Amino acid sequence: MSGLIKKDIYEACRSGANKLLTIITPCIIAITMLLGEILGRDHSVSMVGLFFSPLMVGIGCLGSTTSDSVSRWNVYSMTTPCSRSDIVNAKYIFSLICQLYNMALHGLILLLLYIFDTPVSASDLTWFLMMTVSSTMLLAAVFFPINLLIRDRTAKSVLGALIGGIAGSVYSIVMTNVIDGEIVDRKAALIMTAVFAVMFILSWIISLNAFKNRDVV
Amino acid sequence: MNIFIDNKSGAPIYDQIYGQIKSLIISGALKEDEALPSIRNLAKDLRISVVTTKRAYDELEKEGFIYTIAAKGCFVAPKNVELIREANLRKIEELMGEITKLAASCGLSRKELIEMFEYLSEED
Amino acid sequence: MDAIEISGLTKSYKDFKLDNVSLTLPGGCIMGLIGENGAGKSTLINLILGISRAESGSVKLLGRNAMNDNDLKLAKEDIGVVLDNVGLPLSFKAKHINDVMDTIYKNWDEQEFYGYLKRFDLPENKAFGKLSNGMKMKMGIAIALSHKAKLLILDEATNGLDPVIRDEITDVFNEFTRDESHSILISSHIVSDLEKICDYVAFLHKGKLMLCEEKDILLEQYGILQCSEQQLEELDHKSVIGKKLGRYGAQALIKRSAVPKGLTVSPVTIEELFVYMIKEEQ
Repeated sequence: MSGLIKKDIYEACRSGANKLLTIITPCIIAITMLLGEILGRDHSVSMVGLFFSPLMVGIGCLGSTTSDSVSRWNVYSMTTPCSRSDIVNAKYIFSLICQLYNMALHGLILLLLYIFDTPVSASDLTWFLMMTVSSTMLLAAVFFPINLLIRDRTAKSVLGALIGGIAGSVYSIVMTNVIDGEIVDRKAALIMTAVFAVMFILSWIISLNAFKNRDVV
Repeated sequence: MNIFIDNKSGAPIYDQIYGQIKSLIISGALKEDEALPSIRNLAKDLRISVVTTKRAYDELEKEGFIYTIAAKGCFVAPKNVELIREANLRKIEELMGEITKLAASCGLSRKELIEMFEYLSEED
Repeated sequence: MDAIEISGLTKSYKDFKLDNVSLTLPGGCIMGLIGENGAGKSTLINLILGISRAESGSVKLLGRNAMNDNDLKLAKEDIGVVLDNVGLPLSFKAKHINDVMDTIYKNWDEQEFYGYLKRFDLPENKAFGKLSNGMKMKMGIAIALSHKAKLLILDEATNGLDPVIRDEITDVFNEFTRDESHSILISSHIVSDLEKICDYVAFLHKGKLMLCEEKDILLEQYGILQCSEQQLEELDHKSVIGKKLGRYGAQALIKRSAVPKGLTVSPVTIEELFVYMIKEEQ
């Protein structure tokens, strides 16, 4: 199973899009902050970056499942000594690793904010982090089973679009709860985080069971 | 040891191998107690099936031309003069059979056939 | 120990059914699985490897029960597989492939892998996605041979390759089976590749196993007879497997034992045998 995770990590690192993301996100934030400084505006615009990064990382993580279909790794991996549970576990663990990466990116953003003396409290950022990381969990929780269990391309695209819509609305809900860099309703954020985490775990269990008897080809 | 396989001749491959090794043994090109290549290696070197070479070796062993030592391999059996004579006698019988058939097909009587034979033998 | 034991394997699809297939690949042998496109070769191999789940039947790979996920996982350590599509990540170069496979396989041999890369003339610094189809296939074969496998399962693995490479690969497979604990199951509709080195031949047609026999026995039992139509009529009809009637005579696939002396029977190739048998079925 560790071989499968390694493969996902290597692939993510080698992906041009991901490399771009790692560079772009802090850059966007730094630029917007600079602009803010120059134009004498506050830094709430740069808050976009805080959402941008986990969104992109989340999508990048799901991208591994897409590239699996394109490269046909989903079939090839079944010729290796990896059981079906290994394959499912590797995907979910990889998404957790992506969350860690997300946190590292956030650490960088924190640093930037600190450098620019932005009046955003650390606890606010922690809340941001929890929510955005957990919404990536939401994406994974819904996306992985679809990819593992549904072969039909049209069905996949339809569901994918649906999820995109869900993710989008989740984010806009989060955004509306933010005023001047402060999350207004912390309780809601906490509940959402807990719900998404539970969905993640449920999705993991469902995938494990349902994948056991799927025909991959 | 040279073994040549003719894919197009129609003769079964195991038979070709059997025949060629047998000739090599009878002619003395393969010496007594000399080790033969293993069934497997021979098959892989000739790029043919292992089943084929095994059959050839089985025939050779049955006829007494080779013997097997477990875990060691196959070796050329001591040149048994009796065996060779027997083999040659069988060949003569076969050829005689063919001569008889041909003779019949052109209406040659037994007497005429024997006359022909005596004439040819005198020439030698 | 038999390399592969299949018993009563069945799988139904919308318009195709793999029907009760049973066959055995004895250890140390090469078996050619021959069938036309759509005969079910890939389905059979997918069922053996657990890529698709069978409705009924059992499979044993290298003595382990392939229907049990854990046993199947252990068995795959010793099985090298090349399917008609090598699904490696498109951005990977040789060193990434080596690294990942090293983690996946217990007995991965890095030296062997790079050795095969050299032998097959595969570039070490080119991304997998940029390789030609033939090269992708060769990479798949290189991987299959680099983890001390005892059984190779190849599904149309030589299709995208030119004759020169196919010859070299056939050599490689031949060498692989020099060790008597090594076996190969190779499926293809290009029969000529397999003919020479196969020990056993299995014919698959429309989801059913038509025969599974020692190749030599088949080649000895059957032959091609060319004669006049009348002569053909006089022969035992049960021994005539198939015939082609033409303007200048008839050509028939026939059991050698039924041919009277005087008529010549020419050797038949496995491919001809298969084609005649299929035509008769239809």
